[in-house]
Amino acid sequence: MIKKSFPGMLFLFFLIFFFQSSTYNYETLDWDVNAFLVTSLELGRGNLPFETQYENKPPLLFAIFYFFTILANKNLLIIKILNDLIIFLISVQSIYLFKKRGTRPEIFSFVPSVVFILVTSNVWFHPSYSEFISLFCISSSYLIYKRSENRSKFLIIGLLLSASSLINLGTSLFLICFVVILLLYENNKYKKIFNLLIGFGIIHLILLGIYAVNGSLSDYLMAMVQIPLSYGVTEFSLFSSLTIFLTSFIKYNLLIYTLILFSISLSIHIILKMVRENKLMFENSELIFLIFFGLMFFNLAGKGYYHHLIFLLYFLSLSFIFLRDTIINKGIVVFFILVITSFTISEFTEYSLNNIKNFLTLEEEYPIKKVSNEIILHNYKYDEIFSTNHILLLYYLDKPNTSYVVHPALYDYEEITSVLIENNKIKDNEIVFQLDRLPQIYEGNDLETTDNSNYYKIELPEINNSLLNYWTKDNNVFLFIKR
Amino acid sequence: MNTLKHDIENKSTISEKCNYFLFSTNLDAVLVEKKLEIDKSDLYVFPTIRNILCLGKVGNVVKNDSTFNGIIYTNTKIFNFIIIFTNFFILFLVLFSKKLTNPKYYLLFIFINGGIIFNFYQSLNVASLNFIVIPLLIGVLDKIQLSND
Repeated sequence: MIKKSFPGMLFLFFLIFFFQSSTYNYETLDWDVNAFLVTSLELGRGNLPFETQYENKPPLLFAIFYFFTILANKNLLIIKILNDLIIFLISVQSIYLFKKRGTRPEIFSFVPSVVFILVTSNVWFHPSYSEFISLFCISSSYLIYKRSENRSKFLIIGLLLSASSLINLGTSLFLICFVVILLLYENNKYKKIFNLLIGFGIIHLILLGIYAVNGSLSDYLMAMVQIPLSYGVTEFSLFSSLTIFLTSFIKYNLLIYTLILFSISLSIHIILKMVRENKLMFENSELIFLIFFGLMFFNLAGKGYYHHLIFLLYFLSLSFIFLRDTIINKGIVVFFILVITSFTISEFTEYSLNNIKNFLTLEEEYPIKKVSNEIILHNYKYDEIFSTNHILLLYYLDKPNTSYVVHPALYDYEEITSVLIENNKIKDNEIVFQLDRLPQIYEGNDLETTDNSNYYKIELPEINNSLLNYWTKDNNVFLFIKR
Repeated sequence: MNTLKHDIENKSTISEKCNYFLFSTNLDAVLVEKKLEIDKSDLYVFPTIRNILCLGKVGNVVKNDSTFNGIIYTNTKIFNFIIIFTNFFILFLVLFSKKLTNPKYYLLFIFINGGIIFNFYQSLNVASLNFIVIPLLIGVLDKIQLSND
């Protein structure tokens, strides 16, 4: 069966690789990913996440990134491709989600996957966000729920959802979603929910045990309970944030925007149908709950970051399956999707082909990679590095940050720093404190303006600053060596 | 009644709040022909409900060297609310009560939304577009009976 779907899967792979490769030339697409990579290296040093370095994500994410680092031999470009493979796996799963039993996937089964790939073609969704890895776990859970006849399937779903919550804590919300689906759609529901909760609890308990044995349970509870709870006080408007997102999306690609609008209309149509007929049991109608919880995830995350919409956009893409059993000519739908895909491909051609052509030299041109090579080449001492901007330097040189905080943006998050100060992990004025300790290398803002006589600025190798990050912000590298 | 075009021609524009009303398309013509530059000004309708009469109107037109400058009064929130409320209300009528037949629904839809777009498009944004398109699509999808029962 897989053999017969192979050309379709190859097409999906081509699409993902083509769209995502358009930004391979930029070293950084989002600071978050750099922070994941730097924090993940702690595992290689025998430390658990949060013991010596802090990044605002659960521990399993760092284990996965450490695995990626080993697989890719620390090659950042390969790590980006590994993340694209996750998008590919999610897309392949989507094909089998709605496949009719005993048949091979029809062409229409590829539509939701292609829509999702088109939506993620936008550069906002190119970085290796934790949401993609979590989504892989959640879509696997959904696939098992839909297709598996295994008696332990609810236990497995629980395990997968648990893994998802240990990659992105907010996705614990989908446990509630699955409980709701089981309550509404299943017989023998309480036994199934019990199995689900057992599965969910097992991994969390194991992890708690690991941290307890290592004597760092307080660090784990601070990162997994205390800090997330402090997040709940930020102001956020769901409606305004969605409007901003949609307005931005129109500017990106009107055709894909119409696909999003259509999927929203489809979903509301199904909800109205449920209400009108006072009936929940339509084919695939459980998808409506996943869409709703995708929206809730964005709302509860409360920051308005576009990558928080990945779940909603994925489940909205799946809603195209509602068109399958209608009088609408499926060939026409497939045709329109292909037309939109062709137009989108044409927009990416120049950048993607250029990057594919220069694939072998892309990583060598990454600016911070060049800077770190220069540090090694000139025999500068780099055992203690304090980085507050281009933290990839820590990754390439395989060193922890002298500060407990890895992600530079976290210094500005009062809700996080207050908890870290309370737990004696950082000082009130952490950056000044770290500089006073005189680390061997400081990477961050230009110290010349602060008259710091303890450091001198080093001449950097010739780097292409425009490749530092996609958003052309902070396109300067300042590196200081202790006198 | 004074018209904006007429007043500009006679150099007798009145610098008062929301003095002139023009349909959007006519306003566009005046903007080009008479070198009129207008800025949007968001006008709150609460607590001064009377301000609602100013929405979509041009006011404070003053001559400035060779051009005229004026202000058009807008309120995106109120129009988005009107659009979403009316569109979903008539959609619910057609879906749930069956009192509205499909041809009447589409006519009413075009009449209401066309009217808002024609007269108040300066107040509209992407959200307004969504609130127009989504109920329309839902209506169309319902017509072709999508779900497999």
